[in-house]
Amino acid sequence: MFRIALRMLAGDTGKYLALVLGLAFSTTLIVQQGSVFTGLMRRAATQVESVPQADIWVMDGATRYFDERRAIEDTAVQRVRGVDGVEWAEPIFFGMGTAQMPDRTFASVQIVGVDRAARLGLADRFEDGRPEAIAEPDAVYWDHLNLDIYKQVRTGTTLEINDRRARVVALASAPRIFLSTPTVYTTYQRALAYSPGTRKRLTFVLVKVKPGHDHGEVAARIAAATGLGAKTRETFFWDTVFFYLKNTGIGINFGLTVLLGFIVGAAVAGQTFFTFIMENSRHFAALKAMGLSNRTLVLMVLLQALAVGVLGWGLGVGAATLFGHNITDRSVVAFLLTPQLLAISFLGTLVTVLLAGGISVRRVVAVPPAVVFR
Amino acid sequence: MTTTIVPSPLRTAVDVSGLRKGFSTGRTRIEVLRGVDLHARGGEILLLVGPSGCGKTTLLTLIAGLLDPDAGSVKLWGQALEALNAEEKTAFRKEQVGFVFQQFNLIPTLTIRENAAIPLLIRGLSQKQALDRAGAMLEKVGLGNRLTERPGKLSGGQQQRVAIARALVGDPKLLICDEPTASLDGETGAQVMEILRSNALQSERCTIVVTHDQRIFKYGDRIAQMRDGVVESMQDAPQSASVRAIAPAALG
Repeated sequence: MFRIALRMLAGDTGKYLALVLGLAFSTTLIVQQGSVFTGLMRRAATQVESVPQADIWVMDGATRYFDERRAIEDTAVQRVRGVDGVEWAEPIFFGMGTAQMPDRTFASVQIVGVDRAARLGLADRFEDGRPEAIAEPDAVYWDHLNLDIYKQVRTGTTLEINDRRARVVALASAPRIFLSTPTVYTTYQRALAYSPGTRKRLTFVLVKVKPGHDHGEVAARIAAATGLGAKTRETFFWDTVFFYLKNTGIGINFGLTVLLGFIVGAAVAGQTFFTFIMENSRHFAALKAMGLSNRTLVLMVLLQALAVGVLGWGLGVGAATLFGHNITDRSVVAFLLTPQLLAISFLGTLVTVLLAGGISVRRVVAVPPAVVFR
Repeated sequence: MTTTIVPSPLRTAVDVSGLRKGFSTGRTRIEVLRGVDLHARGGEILLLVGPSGCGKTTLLTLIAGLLDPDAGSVKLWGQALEALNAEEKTAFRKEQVGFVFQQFNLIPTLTIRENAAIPLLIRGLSQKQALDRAGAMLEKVGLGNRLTERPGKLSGGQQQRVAIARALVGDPKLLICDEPTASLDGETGAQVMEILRSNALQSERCTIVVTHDQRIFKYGDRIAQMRDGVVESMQDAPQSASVRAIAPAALG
């Protein structure tokens, strides 16, 4: 009888399509908007993720997330290197500056300064130029992702960053960050030179943990030994993501869009399914008259609901995936499809179809088989 | 070659006694059946006739166990329906009762073979077994060349033949027909009744037909005349020689 249930469902092409497409639409909205949301959230902490060699980030003890930075003493690098379990520790500088363009316009820029030898945190993909020239005087990389805003910047362009000369030797291609501020990469010492002088200059110490040591334990040892803050890469990443999530309203705003999509899709699909079942109630009554048990009837309706649910969900995920197919971490549009999102969307679809199926089946079970004689 | 069947005394298939049933609509209660007594034998066609609202269809639903009576009893081959709970009644119908409805009640999205196979699928037969037997049954009602078509492609008479094939495919002991010719023209109605007639003449199957259609009276063995919720009279049907000559089909 289950095959018959599926044939009953698929045979009514119009309603079948409306059902499947309603659920697909709902799923697409959930998955697409959800993926854009997770993609954007990931960008909030892209720079933490983009140094995969570092297991631990050491910072000022009051730092809550990546963009909240207070400089620490340069000697922190040596102190961290002395902690048990640390394989290596390297400095990295993050700061802000003003870059004056050749045409006298200017741009606020993020300055990233990395250790000349270790090169941790430096862009590693380039669109143009001579990356090896970073050791030359005044050499910087300009993140090409913002070239659509600052078209005048090319390899060889000479800028002034905080009144000091900078020469673009390569156009870097780094993963996009949450803000649209262009990023300038250079050596650690040159980055310090571009930044206004304060007593403390170091932003973070990047730490590699020796094999066999627990990252969390080493982070705790660093914090205890230096009095600084120390977070594993994962902790720092999620602290940053959750800070934006909690304090910017982006979660609620995206959540509302997703919820609206879910409600519209679920309402369309639920109503269509209910109508489909009600229109077939006479046939179901005939089946009951012929001896079909209520249990089998319930299972038939739930199977029909599940069938459209799984198909609609699959099509919806497919459509959303198609949307995100060519989107990378360098694209303007953010997109990150996670297993959790797939699970949530599947759960949402399941709730929709089971709810619609449950309401419909109650009505069908209540239909007396004698109705077939009326 | 045709064989004339002389009905012999057959054992009681349907035994209805003192059956009462009423329905409430708001504050009004309508007594539809007011103490019906009725007997039908295996191998015969019993026609239930009477004016609209006299209780024919209600009696049919009670005999089929689709509704419960307020009083009285229904016995099918000695089995009292009131002794069965709802699940047992459903199981009883599944095994013993076939239905032919006025509106056919064929599922439009299934092929006619799938429609005819439904009673067997409900019984739990495999898809292949059910479809094979349904195909064979449709062959016997003259639709063997249209197995993969959907009901919407067929005429009213053909759809009713599919419904008859569906009703007979499980070889039920009781066949309940509600106005089986009401939607059909005279010639098609006669064809449908001939199929029912030839089927009734074999085995112990009892066929009860509710009808207003006087043209098919000749296909019955007996006619129960109902009026105001009771069986007013029971008489032998005026069978014609041609009807008496209908051969039992090798159905089932």
